[in-house]
Amino acid sequence: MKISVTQDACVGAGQCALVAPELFDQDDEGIVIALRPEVPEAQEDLARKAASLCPARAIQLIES
Amino acid sequence: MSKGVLIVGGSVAGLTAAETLREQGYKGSVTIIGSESELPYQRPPLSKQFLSGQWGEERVQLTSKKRLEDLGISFHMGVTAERLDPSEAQVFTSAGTFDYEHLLIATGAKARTLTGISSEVQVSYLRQLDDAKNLKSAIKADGQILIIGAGVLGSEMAATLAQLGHRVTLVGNFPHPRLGADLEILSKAATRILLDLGVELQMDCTVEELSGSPLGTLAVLSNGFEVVADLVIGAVGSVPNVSWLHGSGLDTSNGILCDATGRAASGIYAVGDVACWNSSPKEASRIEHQMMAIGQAASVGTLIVTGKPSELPVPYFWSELADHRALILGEVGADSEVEVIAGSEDSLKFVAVAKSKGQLKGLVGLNMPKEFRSMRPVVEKAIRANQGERRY
Repeated sequence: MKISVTQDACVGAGQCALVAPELFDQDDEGIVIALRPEVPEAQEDLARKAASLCPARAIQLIES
Repeated sequence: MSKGVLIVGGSVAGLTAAETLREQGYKGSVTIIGSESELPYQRPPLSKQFLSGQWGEERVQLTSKKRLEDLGISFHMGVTAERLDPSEAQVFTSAGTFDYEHLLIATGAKARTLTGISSEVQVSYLRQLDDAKNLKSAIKADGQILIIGAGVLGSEMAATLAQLGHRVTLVGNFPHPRLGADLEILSKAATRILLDLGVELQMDCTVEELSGSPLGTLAVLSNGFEVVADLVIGAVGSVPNVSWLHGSGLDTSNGILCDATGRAASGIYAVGDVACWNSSPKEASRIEHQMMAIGQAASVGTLIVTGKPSELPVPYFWSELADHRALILGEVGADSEVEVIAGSEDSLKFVAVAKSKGQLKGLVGLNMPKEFRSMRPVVEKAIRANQGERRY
């Protein structure tokens, strides 16, 4: 699974960094940063949860 | 049509419920009916990035036709629910009858309209995408705008329009603009931000009279102030969309009354702004935040498939006034004891904790997202530890 984030759409709610801190962080403005492009298998559920909880739908997951 | 899950309401709550059902492995049919002629989109940017023109329509879209198809979600646009018959498990709509095994109601709320307005006066409201489009086309370059209601929506619109260079008067019937929570630290900051943007604030007063005049709409306020406006916008709260449920047997006195897991009746659930979850044994409440709508929808979707609800988020919302962003976590209000733990009020950059009777109840931040987030897990943990039987 791959992660793609749309920084322009991010509203800085921080849900992603909260539920999946190994996959997402926020910059100084609170905008999402993907920490790694590939999601380790054990983290796939967390990635899905982060994507579904994002109020701006700024996280896209590409299932491999 | 085939039974399965029928979702009435095509906004973020309805969409999240549908997506959750598929994520959890639901194999039956999932159908969404939405009254608007749009695919699901985000409402929060309508008063901000969309109104300012910074974002176009494509940017507020939450999903696409292709994605819905891939997930096996059937989406019916422009279809209005007219009546529910729980005994037959049927919803009657403008496009025929839909049967269901599980019904999920996510019809949201509509803008509350001002009462006692004469027919010669036109008042605009903002709730849906087409409202926002109409507003944008109604705004004149050098016009005077009057916004009635200084809650979060009115304040956000005032900031957006003032930043675009429009003359804006904002009227509120309480002492300071409120950013969702009645908290002095936020109200003071909002007052400063709005005044700096050039918004004319008329607080602690009401509109006594609105009448047509050759130059525009004349508004007379209870403090004696008068303004002639080219555009009048009402932002005086919302009312849940429940009129189609009359006769259904559901309790709709303040939204749809549900138990702590969102169940309103056997096989019927409600989520989002229309839902009033009985989240604690003593008190049922409607929490009209986008994150709560998403959390409730995910919880009910999970409940339908697995028999167990998922955890709800601690109430959390954000507001933006021009370039300033406020973040609010937990339950905060006028009786909260607020203590700034980073930054300062003067700099319009701070993070503060809110306590009630010595217990940590919330976190409030302005323009310090990183510091806010570093505190958030600690505060969430404390709120959860103190929430007792309450399930948000």
